[in-house]
Amino acid sequence: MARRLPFPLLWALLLAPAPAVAQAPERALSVDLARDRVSITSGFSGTDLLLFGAVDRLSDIVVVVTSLDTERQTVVRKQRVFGIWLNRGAVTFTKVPPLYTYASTRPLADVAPRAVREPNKLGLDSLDIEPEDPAFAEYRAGLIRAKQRLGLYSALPARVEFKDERLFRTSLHFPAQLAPGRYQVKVIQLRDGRIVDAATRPLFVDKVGVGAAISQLAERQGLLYGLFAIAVAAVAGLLSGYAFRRT
Amino acid sequence: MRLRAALRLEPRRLEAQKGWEPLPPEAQLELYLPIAEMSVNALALLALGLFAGFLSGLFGIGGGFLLTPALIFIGVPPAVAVGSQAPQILATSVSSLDQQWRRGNVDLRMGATMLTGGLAGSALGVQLFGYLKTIGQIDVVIALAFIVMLSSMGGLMLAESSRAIWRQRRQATPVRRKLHQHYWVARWPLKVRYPKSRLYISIFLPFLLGLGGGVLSAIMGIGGGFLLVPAMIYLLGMPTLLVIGTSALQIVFVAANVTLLQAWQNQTVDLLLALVMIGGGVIGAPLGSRLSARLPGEQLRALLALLLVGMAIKLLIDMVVTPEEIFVLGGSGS
Repeated sequence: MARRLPFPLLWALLLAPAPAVAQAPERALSVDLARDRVSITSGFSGTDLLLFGAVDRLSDIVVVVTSLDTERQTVVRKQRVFGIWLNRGAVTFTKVPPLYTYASTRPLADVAPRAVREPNKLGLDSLDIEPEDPAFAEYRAGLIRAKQRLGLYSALPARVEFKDERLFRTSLHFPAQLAPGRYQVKVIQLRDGRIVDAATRPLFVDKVGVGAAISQLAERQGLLYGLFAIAVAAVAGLLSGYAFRRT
Repeated sequence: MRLRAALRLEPRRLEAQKGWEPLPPEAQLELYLPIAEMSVNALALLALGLFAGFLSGLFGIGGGFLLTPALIFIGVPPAVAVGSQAPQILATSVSSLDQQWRRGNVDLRMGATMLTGGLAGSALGVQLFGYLKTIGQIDVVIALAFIVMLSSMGGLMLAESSRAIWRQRRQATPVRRKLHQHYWVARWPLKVRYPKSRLYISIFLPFLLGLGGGVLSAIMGIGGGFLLVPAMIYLLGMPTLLVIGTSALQIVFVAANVTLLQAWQNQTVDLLLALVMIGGGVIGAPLGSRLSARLPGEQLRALLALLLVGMAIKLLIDMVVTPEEIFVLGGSGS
């Protein structure tokens, strides 16, 4: 598997209050994924992906998996009208990440204070789901619960385990409802509630096989796909009709 | 530098050790539906298709009204459930049309009038469907439509077949039916002759019937045979012999139109889902019709009526009982 070295030095700046070492700081954190591609085949029912890495010394590690592309998502509220539960009232949120799961060595509240979690989008509380209107707080909470039921948002973080003082690993779960697209795995190293280093790995999710062919045709050539569906259904129906009349 | 060098080797070596392997591959029987973007148990889906096919063979009906709610129950988005029903209906009806056509049991003139309405109605229905989907009301509308239709059809059939069974018990002579009855609709304007059906009726009547069938077909994912057939017999007064073939003509072309438009405009046709359903129907329907030949007709009808009413009650309970979660996801997009 290709390893991408050297790592981007973006987060190295955070090491500014470094000890008496004068030379360029060496990266404290390095990580990789067992695979950088998840293929949705016709037997896909979710998958687990191994992430492993090493740090210079025992630290807190938080791994966040999120989609690079956000989407609009409508949340509908059910209300009882004449004894029947109908959909009354809806809020459309923009910039909703289709997926947001995370893993951590300890509960996030113990790892870092809110002032650190918030700007770094650690945890579901700090997601930017617009509109950020307090009036929509219930809808927002409902959206998160719905996503959690689908396994697309973490209800509880997965565990990041240390093998020894330096090596850590975790298993990232991707549910069956995973949508194809570009994703990002971000690993953050923290010590005493402060970010020490961070690294990101891209992750691609795509459909392959028959499913991919069907959805590609459906999206790009809707008319052709419709005609194809008619032909397949008609032929299947006629053939089965003949087959069963003979016997 | 030594650390980096060591790490480059370490993971691979560790992966080979126990406890570092990724989880074993998932169960093989899951089927990923590419348009629904979800995975379902392939066996459960096939069983559902078989059961619906069996019932459609047993009762001589299309089965769409059973499959659409069932697919929604197992978590297929209502829009995809309805859209993917259309090719399944096409497949089940095309064989029936083929047989009836060979026997000359299709009133082409009547079929063309109905189909004009049917194509317009299904196009209208697909637009309405798309609109309801964007405002997040499609699932409620689908459920309400099913409750109204299943309970009224089931109730009527239950009343009629219980009367018939009652008469059989008392061994009274059956009431002789008229060839066809005339209602107020007989006075509608623009009358047209339908020689094959020996009818002289307003052109609006079959047109509106087709229109209504088309709208329902697009919104509910049903062929509408069990609505069209009684309507054509009692409302239009068509000879029963021609009704099956002529309604099959209407259903096949409306289903084709719905398939095309749902695929093209709403992107809600999951061909893989449809194929599993078609497969289940192909095997299940002959089994059902074989069994139906051995069972008494009126009792069978009462059984179907009970099934319809039962499903309506189930849907109604789902709408009345306080849901566990009052916030649900509506439409999404980029």
